[in-house]
Amino acid sequence: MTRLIALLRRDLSLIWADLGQALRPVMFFALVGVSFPLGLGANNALLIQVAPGLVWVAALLAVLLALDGLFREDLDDGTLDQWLLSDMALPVTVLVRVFSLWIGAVAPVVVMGPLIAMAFGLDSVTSGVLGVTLLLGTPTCLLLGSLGAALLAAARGGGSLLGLLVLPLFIPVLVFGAGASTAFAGGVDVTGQLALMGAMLAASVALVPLAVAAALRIVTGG
Amino acid sequence: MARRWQWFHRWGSSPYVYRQGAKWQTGLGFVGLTLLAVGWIWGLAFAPIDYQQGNSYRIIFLHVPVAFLAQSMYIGFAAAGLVLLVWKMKLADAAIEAGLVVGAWVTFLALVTGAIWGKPTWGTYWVWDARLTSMLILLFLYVGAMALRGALPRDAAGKAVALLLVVGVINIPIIKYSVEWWNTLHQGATLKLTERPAMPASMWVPLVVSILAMYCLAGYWVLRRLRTQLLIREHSTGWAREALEREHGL
Repeated sequence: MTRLIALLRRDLSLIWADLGQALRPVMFFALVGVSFPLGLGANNALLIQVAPGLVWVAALLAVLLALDGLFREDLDDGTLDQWLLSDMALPVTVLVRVFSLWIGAVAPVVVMGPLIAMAFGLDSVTSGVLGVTLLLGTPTCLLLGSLGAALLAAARGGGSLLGLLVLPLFIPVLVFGAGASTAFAGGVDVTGQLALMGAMLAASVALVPLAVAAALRIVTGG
Repeated sequence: MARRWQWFHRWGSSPYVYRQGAKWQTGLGFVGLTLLAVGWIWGLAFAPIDYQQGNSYRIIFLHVPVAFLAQSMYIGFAAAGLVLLVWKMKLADAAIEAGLVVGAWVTFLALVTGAIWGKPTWGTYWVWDARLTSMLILLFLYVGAMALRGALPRDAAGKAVALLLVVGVINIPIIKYSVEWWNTLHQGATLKLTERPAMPASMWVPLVVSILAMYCLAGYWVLRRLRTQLLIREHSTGWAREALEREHGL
């Protein structure tokens, strides 16, 4: 346990050491959020209707941005080989790494999401529900995306390919995340959707690190 | 025990697959074309007209077979990927590399025929229905797997693609059950193993024949590409040189 915490602190301090890079996803998210009203026109009724979907799409793009190069440096400087040699289970190490990336780079997006939704004119309670869906959904997406990042750690120009690989895997989360907020705005009880998103998160916490570990073994040739 | 697994090991050897594959290839091609001729002539010319959709429903004899095929080929490649990851059989890798393009084309064909069918029936080429969308996602999964192979160095590419296919297979149940989950414009499943079909036998029998034909033809196409792939991969070995000289005069 102490080793897990030490690992988490190391990863977090590495992420926060370059604060500009850590905050890039949330700045990107905010700018995409601002671009939508500029592109769609300041039609409040329209913006309120599409706000949950837009915020979710922007959040997924921010997650993709955060994932870019997740394991590349670790592969280049030999950290991955140390992970493989270590007696700590590789999936656990992966989980800690993804969790620290979520705290460092994606959590600001989750905080910013409801604010952007309110700027679109969504009422505060619906924005709060949207925030809850982001809180449940972005870790799932980050985990699934880390699989793509692991597969592409050794690839030339992997960034553009990452979206092609992992966006299809994000679809169920997107459907339920944006769908729950829209349904809530329409006066429907959404605890079912939220529970389903929680179930997806639990399942991916349990299973995806295993696949990511297998992917890392493949790219290191281990 | 040893006896029982012998065929499995034999089908792991490239020269054996290349030689036996030639016979299978001819057989599948011949049976596939015959069945397709029977299924399509029966379906297009003799099957009764649909009381609601008129003659436009007849595209079902192309659409449903390729849609079946697109999904089951993906499952097949994921199974091959599992074989590669677990038993490290090189042949599975060659089969995936040879077959992904076929799967992508079949998926594309399913989408296009669906769009053509959608126009007279629903009045639009495309709707954001769950089933259509997940078919589109299936196409992206195929394309992503092919792109991943292109981006990675050869030795890592095979296993990485296999892993991606195995993970992507979670998409297949979403495709299968999406109709029941969201249930929008798309009509329910045409054929189910557990129930009698809702259409008369004069319609579903030619449909089943067309489906079998399409499976045979896809098998022919994949096998043909696989055998070429084996020649490319092992062009410096004795058996491949022999085969090239015997069959192509090289």
